[in-house]
Amino acid sequence: MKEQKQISRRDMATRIITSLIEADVTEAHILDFLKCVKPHGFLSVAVDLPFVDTAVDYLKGAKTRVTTVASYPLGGMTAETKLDEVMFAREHGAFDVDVSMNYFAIKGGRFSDVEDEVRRIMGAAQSLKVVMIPQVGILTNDEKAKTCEALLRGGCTSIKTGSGFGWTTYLEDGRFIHRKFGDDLHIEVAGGVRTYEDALAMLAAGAEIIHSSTAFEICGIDEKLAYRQQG
Amino acid sequence: MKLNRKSFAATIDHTYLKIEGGMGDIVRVCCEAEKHGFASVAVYPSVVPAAARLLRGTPVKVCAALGFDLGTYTPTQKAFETRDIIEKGATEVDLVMNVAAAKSKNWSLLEEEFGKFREAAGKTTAKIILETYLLTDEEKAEVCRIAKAAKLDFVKTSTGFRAGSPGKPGGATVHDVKLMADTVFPELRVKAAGGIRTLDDALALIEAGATRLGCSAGVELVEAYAKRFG
Repeated sequence: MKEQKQISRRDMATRIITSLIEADVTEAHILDFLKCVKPHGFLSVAVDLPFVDTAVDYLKGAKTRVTTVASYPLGGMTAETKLDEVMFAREHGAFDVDVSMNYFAIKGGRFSDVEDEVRRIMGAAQSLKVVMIPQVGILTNDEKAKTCEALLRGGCTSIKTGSGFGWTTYLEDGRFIHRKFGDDLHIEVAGGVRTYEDALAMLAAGAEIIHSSTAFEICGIDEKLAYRQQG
Repeated sequence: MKLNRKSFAATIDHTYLKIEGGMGDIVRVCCEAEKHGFASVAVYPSVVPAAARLLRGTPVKVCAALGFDLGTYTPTQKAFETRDIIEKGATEVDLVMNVAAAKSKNWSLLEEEFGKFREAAGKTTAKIILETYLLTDEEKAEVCRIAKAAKLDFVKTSTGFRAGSPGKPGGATVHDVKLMADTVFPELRVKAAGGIRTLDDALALIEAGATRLGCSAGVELVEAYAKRFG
């Protein structure tokens, strides 16, 4: 744990990746969202692949980066399709790509397959930063450790704990991974970080970056995003 | 459709789309599908090669769930994924359509997507998933017309993610199945999926026009059918 614990509410934005990823999010929603986000100095905004061009364009010159996703959120795609998506992200100028892992391989204990997929993704990504998603909410501690070992062997040094869709990352997950792999792995947390206090606690547990859909609330920014309510 | 125990079982795409399971679950659903005479097993692409090996020599199809569950990537990528998964052993492909395109009335993008999907799938049974709970009736009908023009094989109601029982957001409803059937019959068929838990749900959806049901409760459904009708 390198840094100050008491990062201010407002400065928390520099550690936060906010996102707008849903099946029915349109270009118009993305533009509204980017307009809301841009002035506040968030670390990054995560958008789905078809909107990377729009976001990169809109945020040109801003500090805020563009994050995108591959095989998201369920990780069910083959390695070949993941590579195709990662190359798309690279070619379209995203700063980083969050890739859902092969959960069947993890659950089946086939960690050499996990490592192999990660290595191929790292090869395709080149200068694009890759953040692998182990989805800790479905893993035992043993599986978490072996997954982190496999992705380090595969050449990846950043993880995002969950997809943020449906599974919670607990403080204990952050601490566990940080304790075992903190020297080698950059930890991003997603799934269940709702408040400023949650975010502070996750940073103290060893996370460097927080993903949250309540980014404005966390940072105490009084600007309402017109999220459409859905099921 | 004349229903009996066998033809009822043959409407079912036996679906396993949990991510917290393991290969043991895939083996189980493949065995169940063969035993009960289901149409297919519907699984993630990452386990299609394994399912194809397990089901070799059986009449059970291997259905790949593409784009789950958001469907938010480009037509070219969807076509790439479709070709790739057929090479890897898929014999049916269910693809989540670009819902945002329908919401912004970008019909030409859907025409491109469905056209590329048809071309990439070739003769393989191609089903496009509407995610009906996010669409208005007008949008559903327009999407069905585009699917018909693209000569896809099925229009499918839902991914089943975020689904409750039929009638609740996310699941297949009798209303949607009727609407879709009215638009695409007779050239295309309708697959109902999402929240199909009981025999009454299943029969109502078939009555409404569905010829395929995507569900994870297939074994319970065929057992209930046998109990009620013999």
